[in-house]
Amino acid sequence: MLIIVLALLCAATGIGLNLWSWQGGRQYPRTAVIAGWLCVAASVALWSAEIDVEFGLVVGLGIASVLAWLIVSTQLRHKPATLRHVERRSPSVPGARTVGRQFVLFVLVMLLAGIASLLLSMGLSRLMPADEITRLATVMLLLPIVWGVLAFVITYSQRPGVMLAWVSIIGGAGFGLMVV
Amino acid sequence: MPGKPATEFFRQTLSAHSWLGLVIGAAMYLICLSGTLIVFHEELSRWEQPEVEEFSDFDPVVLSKTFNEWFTDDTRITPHLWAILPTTDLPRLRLASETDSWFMNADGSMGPRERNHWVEMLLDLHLYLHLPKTWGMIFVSALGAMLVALVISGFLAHPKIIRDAFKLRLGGNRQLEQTDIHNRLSVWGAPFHLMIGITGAYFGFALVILGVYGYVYDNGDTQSIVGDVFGNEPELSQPLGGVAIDRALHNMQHIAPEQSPILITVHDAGTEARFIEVYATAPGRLIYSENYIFDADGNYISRRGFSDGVAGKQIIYSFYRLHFGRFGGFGVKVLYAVLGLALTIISATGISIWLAKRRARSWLDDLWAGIVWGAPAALSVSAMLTLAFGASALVGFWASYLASIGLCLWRRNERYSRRTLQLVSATSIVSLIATYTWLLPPSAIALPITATLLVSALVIGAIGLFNGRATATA
Repeated sequence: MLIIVLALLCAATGIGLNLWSWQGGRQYPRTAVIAGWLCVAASVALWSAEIDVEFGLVVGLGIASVLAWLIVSTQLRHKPATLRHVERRSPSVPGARTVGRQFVLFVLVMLLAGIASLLLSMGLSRLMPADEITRLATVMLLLPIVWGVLAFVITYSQRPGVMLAWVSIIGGAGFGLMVV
Repeated sequence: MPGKPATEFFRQTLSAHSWLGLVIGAAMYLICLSGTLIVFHEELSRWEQPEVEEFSDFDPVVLSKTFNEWFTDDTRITPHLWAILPTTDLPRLRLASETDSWFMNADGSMGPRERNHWVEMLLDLHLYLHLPKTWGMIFVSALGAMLVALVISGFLAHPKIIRDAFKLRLGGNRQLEQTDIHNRLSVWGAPFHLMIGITGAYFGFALVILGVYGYVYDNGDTQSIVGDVFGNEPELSQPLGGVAIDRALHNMQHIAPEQSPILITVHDAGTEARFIEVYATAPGRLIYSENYIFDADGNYISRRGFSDGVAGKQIIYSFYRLHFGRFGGFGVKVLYAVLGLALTIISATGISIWLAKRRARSWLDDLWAGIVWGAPAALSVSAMLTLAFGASALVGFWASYLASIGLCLWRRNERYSRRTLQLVSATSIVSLIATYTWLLPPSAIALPITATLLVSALVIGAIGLFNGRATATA
């Protein structure tokens, strides 16, 4: 129980230090921010000591998030809602070209990027000096991350043609790594 | 990207973030909302079927006898059979085949058939969005990857996200208000959101990955890699007959006294090759269980090695508890529900920000009001219809959800629609409580769930009333 209280105090102090530093702007030293994050890390370590590493890591980070929201809520500034008249009109209907382009982008993000990510994750996992099952687990961890990054890059670029080429190259490279 | 001015980078990143959010926003909202509720799957199952006998301790001999008697009936036996043992969260004993499930009483008599239609509907909404199961799960899992993309693009798109980490301005300009809520919840909850995205992607893609793996590295033999990860079946040939579950459980006390059996699977039931697999939770571990294999007579054969096998095996077997918050007791469930609710609000406010940024209002505003506030109303109406009339939870949910959305589109006033649906949600939750109390027998779980529902109704009702007075901005 004592460790849990200490863990909560550490997390609250850590986020509190960040808040203090944030309120002071540039007047406060960067060490306050570093100390704040160290306190949060100490809190996670304390949780891990109390309820084992696996549970402690998840619970410690989760509690830190909730505490941060509670502390953010103390900074609430409320103003009466502003009245603003906004005209009502139908959204402009996109042309066939725009619809087509968005559809290609969707297929690129949701399908082709997924396939390329799978191939790249599997290819990269071959480079790991690990057993087969750990490589497999790595693929399962890597796939959504690689896919997420690719999805972002594709939507950032908004150039479906160029991105299709890149996704093909990435998928091909992944496949190459897999079979080499 | 290099060479572009920083503002152009942020503008384009924000555009990418918006595109991703708009494309998956509605689906993400439903998945997050149902996921938040499904954290309490066990409690809701108990609540939906309160007449079932509850107990924590059971006699393994009674269980074994009942199991064997119940499944001698050819109409009930399937290749896999289960005995789901009582736990703290779900103190009920259940016998299940691949097609049906029944509760067992402590004295060995059989209780009612399992009928958690509403909870199952909620679970299916989270896992498959009510689409055909295989494709639904793949689509939902792909959204896990998109959540990762949204977290990455969200951080990159907001240069002031750390500087504004404690800013919260409510009221005033609606766009600013929604942005502050969205960003504050996002930035501090990011570790949880990433974890949910990554582990969520696992469920739909595990089999795809295993399939590709088997195809490329095992000459198309996917069973080989599946066997390596989840364990191979022992090759047995025994006289036909029952299974000695009691002996297997008795042996467990010597093999792993610190672990608690939660589930028993009988594989190849009714054949000479049948065997027993006992799943037992390992204290302090995120792995779903360590699994022990016994022959039909309950003699120990081997264990799967999920608790101390290679790192990959332990990681793969930890995804389930990590994603659903099924570890560490009720406190962790509450924590997951709070974090899940935050993600639900982030999903809703994301599109609200995009709508508020436009210079005009349109049917899109009405549609979004219906999607967001129609869901809690539809969930409570479907629960009420299922409990009161035995109506299909699926039909009840979608009929009331589409009706809510239709009402918003018809009214063409999103502020009015939002408020109406908030008040309808609050009223339908109160009606649900009344229906439940009137129709179903009292139970230990009813009080806390009724109290939670009442608080939810009050909160949603208060939002509705407040929303009505502070009508203000577009």
